[in-house]
Amino acid sequence: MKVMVPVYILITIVRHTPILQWLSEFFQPAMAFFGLPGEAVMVLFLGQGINIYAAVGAISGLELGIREITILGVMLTISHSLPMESVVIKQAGVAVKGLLFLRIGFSLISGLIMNLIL
Amino acid sequence: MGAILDIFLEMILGLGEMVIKIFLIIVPLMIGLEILKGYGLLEKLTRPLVPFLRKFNLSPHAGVPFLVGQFLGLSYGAGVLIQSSREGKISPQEMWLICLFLSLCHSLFEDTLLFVAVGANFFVLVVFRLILAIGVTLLFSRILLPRRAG
Repeated sequence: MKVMVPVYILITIVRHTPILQWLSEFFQPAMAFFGLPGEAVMVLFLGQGINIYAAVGAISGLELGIREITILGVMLTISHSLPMESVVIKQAGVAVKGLLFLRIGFSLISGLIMNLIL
Repeated sequence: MGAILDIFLEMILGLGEMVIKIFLIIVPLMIGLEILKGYGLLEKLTRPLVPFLRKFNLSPHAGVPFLVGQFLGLSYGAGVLIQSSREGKISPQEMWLICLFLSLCHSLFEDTLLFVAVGANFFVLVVFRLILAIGVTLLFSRILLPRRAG
């Protein structure tokens, strides 16, 4: 809640400024592979960099359909909160780099698959 | 001035809806998880998992970190894992495989329900994530790292 509410407020404000428009246009071609609009890139960044609560806050601030939210959900449940979770894995004494690579890779592949089958 | 007021209203209404939905889903879940933890029910649930773990070349000791990770989250799962490895029950290869599975798939209910609260399909999220994590872990345990964990 501590993260989700500020993110929601920020996204709602940003949505009414040209910033989101620029980001959206820039990432549009890449996001099209996942069947997502360009602005959804914000959700992915917030989810990977902060956590799922931030991503969900951003989703509520954007206007996305059920299909898009499900695709984002699949991608972000597989890979999220990378800085925080990497520390946790490291504490268990396991090498983080390979796992990180696999997580991000499978998250992207899953997004492609979801776009094909949903 | 009118436009700013509109944005503000939209924000308050949207926020209210989101916060209520998340509360209705997450609070009962948290209570349920605390009960599971408090009564030590997870340990009892690991027994049926043993044959399943064997398919991944994992020993029965992997069961508790595995289940704790699914229900309570990655930090708790890793915590239990660290403890088991200190007691010498889990080999480094097993550790890696468990971390692989847990990093792809943990907090199965909490993570999924957060997305469901904003409109995602529960079934698609859970089934796809489980299939992916099982498939990838099998691939590594049987084909890429086939040495018997010991």
